Amino acid sequence: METNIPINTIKISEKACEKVKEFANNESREKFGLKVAVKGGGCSGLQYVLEIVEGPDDSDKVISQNGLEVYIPKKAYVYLAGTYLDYTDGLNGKGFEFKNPNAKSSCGCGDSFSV
Amino acid sequence: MKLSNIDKYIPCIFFDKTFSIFSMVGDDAISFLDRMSTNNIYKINSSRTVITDNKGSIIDILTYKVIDEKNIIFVSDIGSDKSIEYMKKYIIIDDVDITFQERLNKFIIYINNSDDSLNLEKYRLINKHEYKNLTRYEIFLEDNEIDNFDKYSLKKISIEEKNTLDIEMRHIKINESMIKANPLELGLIDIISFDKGCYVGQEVIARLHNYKKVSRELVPFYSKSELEINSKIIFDSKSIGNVLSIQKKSDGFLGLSLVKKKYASYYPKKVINI
Repeated sequence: METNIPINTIKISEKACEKVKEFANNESREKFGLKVAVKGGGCSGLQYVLEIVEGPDDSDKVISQNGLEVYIPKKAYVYLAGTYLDYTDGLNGKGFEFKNPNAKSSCGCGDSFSV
Repeated sequence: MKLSNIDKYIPCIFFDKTFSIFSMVGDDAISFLDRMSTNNIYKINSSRTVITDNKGSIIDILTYKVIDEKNIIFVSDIGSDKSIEYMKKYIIIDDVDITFQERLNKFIIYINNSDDSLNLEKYRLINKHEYKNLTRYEIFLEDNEIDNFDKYSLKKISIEEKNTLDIEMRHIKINESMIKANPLELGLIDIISFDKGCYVGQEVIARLHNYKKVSRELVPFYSKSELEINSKIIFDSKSIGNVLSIQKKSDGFLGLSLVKKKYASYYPKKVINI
């Protein structure tokens, strides 16, 4: 796992980027990027949002990694700075996994966190 | 333990005070309140819902009404900006705006469950609490609606009588200084959805409920000496709970306490008159 993520950015693993591209291709999308955000809710107060979208909104910060554009709403960025997003497909389940240094605690399923 | 002779009051009405009504407006209004509180806002259009923190402790209780898919009106039990600010903190990418609407008069009406002579459900903001054969309504009215109740024979009761009825009905008015408690301990199970999915505090509340780990319950008490809200209740030199409400009577004090369950059955006999 990547451990040294600069606190002014977020990092997406190569595997996660490939998986996003695979999902987008399955939906026959030509132009797309990954929106990464947080919203209120989930057991712990804040839950992650991942969405394949056509392009950024005006207030989004845009990061390009491994040929994938990532859009992060500025209001969500304070909760995500320094995060590493990976994709795992081991025996214990598969899916996108957030390693967020801002999260003080998270719920049992890992979908939400508190800061 | 019989606390009061309720038959002499019912049906009755109490004017509380005016409260601020807020609106929650936007494409995500229903989704947002559903994620922030215990009740199923998608299914239940008019009720109460508990705002809890991520440990399942109560922050506030809202009386709400879904006006349409983009507009909810609500009033906060604690009547301060604290819970409004708490919710606003979680508005990050949601299309939701919380704004003050107006001030309305809050009335509390106590009737027998079998009494269907009052058509209260027509009022736009209302909540209902049932205990045994009694129903307690909180209704929020504009000035010009107040006279609507003159035609009914509702006895106007004092705040002392209202507090006594609330103790009888195990109803707690929460406030900012109240000790931490979760909604199951305060008997608010009717306004918790166990199948709607995640909301803030859901993991803790679901676990307490499913594994029957709720450790405290509301118990009425009578004391010769005056106790303050939140003061500890000592039994056999151990702290077994706290006072949540209290009302002076002619011969002592009545109240509701939140007590560890294992002591609750001893409590009325052994701890009163402390």
